[in-house]
Amino acid sequence: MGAREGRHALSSAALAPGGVIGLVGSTDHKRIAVRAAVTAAAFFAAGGVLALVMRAELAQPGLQVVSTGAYNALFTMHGSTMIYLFVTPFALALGLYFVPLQAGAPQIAGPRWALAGWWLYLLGGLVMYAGFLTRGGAAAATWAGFDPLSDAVNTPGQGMDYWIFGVVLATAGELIWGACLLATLLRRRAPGITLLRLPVFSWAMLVTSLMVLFAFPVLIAAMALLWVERQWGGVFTAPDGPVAYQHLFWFYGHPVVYVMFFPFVGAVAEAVAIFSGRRFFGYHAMVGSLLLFTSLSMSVWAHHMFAIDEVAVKYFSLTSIALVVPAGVEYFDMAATMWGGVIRFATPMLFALGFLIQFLVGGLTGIFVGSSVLDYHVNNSYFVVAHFHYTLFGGSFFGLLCAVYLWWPKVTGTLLREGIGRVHFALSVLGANLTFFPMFFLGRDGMTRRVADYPAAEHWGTLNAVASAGAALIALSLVVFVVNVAVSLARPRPAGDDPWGGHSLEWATTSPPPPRNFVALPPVRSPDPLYDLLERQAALEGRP
Amino acid sequence: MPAWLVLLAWSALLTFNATVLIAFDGGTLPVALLGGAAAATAVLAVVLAALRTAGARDAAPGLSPPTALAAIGAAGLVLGAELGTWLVLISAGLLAVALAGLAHEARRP
Repeated sequence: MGAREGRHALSSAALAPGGVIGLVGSTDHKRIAVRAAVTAAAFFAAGGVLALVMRAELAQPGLQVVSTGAYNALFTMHGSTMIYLFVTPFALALGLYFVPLQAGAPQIAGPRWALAGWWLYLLGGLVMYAGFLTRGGAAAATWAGFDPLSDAVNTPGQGMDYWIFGVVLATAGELIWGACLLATLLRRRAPGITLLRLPVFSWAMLVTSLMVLFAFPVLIAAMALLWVERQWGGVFTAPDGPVAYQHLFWFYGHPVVYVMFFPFVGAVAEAVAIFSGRRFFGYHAMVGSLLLFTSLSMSVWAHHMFAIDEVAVKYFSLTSIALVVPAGVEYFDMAATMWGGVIRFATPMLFALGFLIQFLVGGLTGIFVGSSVLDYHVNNSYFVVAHFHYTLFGGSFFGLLCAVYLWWPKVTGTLLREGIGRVHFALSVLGANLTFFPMFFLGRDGMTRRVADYPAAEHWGTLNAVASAGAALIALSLVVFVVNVAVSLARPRPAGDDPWGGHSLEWATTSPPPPRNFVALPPVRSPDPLYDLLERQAALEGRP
Repeated sequence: MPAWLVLLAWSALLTFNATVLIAFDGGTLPVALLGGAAAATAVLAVVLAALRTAGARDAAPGLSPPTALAAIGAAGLVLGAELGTWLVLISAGLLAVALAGLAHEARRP
C-alpha cells in the first residue's frame, strides 16, 4: 500500500460514505467510536491547556497569572473536562470500536442510540465550555459541584447552570454507550462465542458497562436536583442536605474512576499477552476478579467523605482496603503472563509497563487515603492530588496510550513510528513523575489543594516549580505524539491485518475493518482464536 | 455461562455488600443506593433470562441523519429549561421532524 492508498484508507475510516452527512449521521460503530475518540482528544487538549495555566500560576508563590476566582474556574473545568469529557468517553469509545469486533458481531447493538450518544456527549461538552462566555465565567465549584458551594448564593451566574446541563448531556450520552456495549456483549455475540471465549478487554468493557448502567443515572438525578436547588432552593437545605448530595455524587464519582480504569486494564492485558507471545495467564481468575473488583468499586464511594464524620467509616474503609485483593489477582495475572514469555518492547508494551508500575504507586497510596486514620491527615491536600493523578494519569492515561499504539494500525491501516513512540514514552514517564511525585511531599507538608497561591514562608516553591516543569514536559511529550501521528499519516507505512501477532478476533479482519466487520470468522474455541490457529499450524509443521 | 448469570452474580455481590453496609449501620440513603443498584441488576438478569431467543439484528441504515437531529432536539429540550421557551419550541419542532424521519427510515425496505 503506497502513501496515497494509506491516506485513502484513513479518510475512508473517518469520512466516507456520504461526506458531511456521513460524518454526522453514520451509524457504523467504528465511525462513531473514531468520532468520539477525536472529540475526546479535542477536549483533552482544552483541559490540558487549563492545567498548564494552573501549573504556571503555582510555579512560584504569589499571584502572577490568574486571579483566585479564575483559578477556581480553571481547576473546576480541568477536572470536569478530564473526567466527563475525556477519559470516560475515550474509554467507552474503545469499547464502541472493539467490542463488536471481538464479539464477532457485524454491528453494535442499538447503532442509532450509539450515534445519539455521541451527539449528546458532544453537545454536553460544548455547553459546559459555553460557561466561559457567560458574564460570571465558567463553573467554579469543583468537578464534583459540591453543595452548598455550588448553590445560587455561593456560585451565582449561568456558568454553573451550563456546567450542570453539560454534565447531564455528556453523562446521558455515555450512559447510552454503556447500554449499547452491554447489550452487544450479552446479546449480539457471533454463534459459538460464549462469554468465556471473550477476550479480557471485552470482559473489562462488560463490567465497565455494568458500572455505567447503575451509577451514571444517579449523577444525572443529582445534577437535576442541584439545578432545582439553584433555581428554587429547598432540595439540599436540610442540615444533612449537603451530605445527601455528596452520597448521590460519589455514588457516581467513585465508580467512574473505575470506568476510567478497567477498559485500559483490558487493553494493557491484551498488549501484555501479545507482546509476551503467550496466552493471558489466569483468564478465569481475571474474569472473577473483574466482577469482584467492580462490585467493590460500587461500594466504596463514601471514603471520599471520611472527613465529614457522617458516614459508616469502618465499612467504607473495609471495602476500600478490600480492593487490593482483586487488584492483586490482576497484577499477578499480568506478571505471570510475562513470566517466561519472549517479551517485545514495542511502544504499546512500553506504555503497558508504564501503566502497571505507575498505577501501582497510585494504588498503594490509595491505601493511605482508604484508611480513615491516615485520610484525616492528608484529606484535601496535595497528597490526594498526587494519588489520583498517579491512578488517572500515570495509570489510565498510560493505558490509554498503550491502547492507541496497539490498535492504531487496526483503525487506520497504518503504523505509527516506533522511534518517535519511544521518545514519547520516555518524555511521558519523566513528565508524569516530575509533575506528580513532588505533590506527595507537598501534601504531607500540608499544602491544600484547590488554592491559587501559597505562603512563601512554607518553602513549597521549589517542589511546585519542579511540578510545573514536569507539566511542561508532559505537554512536550504530547507534541511528540502529535508529530508521530502527523508523520505516520503524511508518509503512511501499511500495517497489514495483524502487525503484532494478535490473539483476538479484531486481528482476523482487514485494517481498517470493512463496514460489516468480517467477511468470514475463524473458528472460536477460546479467548485467543488466532493464537489457537498459530498453535495448530505449528503442530502441523512439527514446530514447538 | 448464560448471560443472565453474570448479572445475577454481580447483583449477588452488590447485595452482599449492601447487607454488610446495613450491619455497619450505613444509613438509609447509602443502603438505598447500593441496594437499588443490586435490585436493578437482578431485574435486568431476570429480563435477560426471559428473553430466550438471540437478540434481533438491528436494521439500522448506514446513515441516519434523523437520529442526529433527534439527539440535537432532545438536548435542546433539556437546555430549554435553562435558556427559555424559545429553545423548547425550536427543539420540539426539530424532534418532531426527526421522529418523522425515523419513521420514514423504518418504513424503507
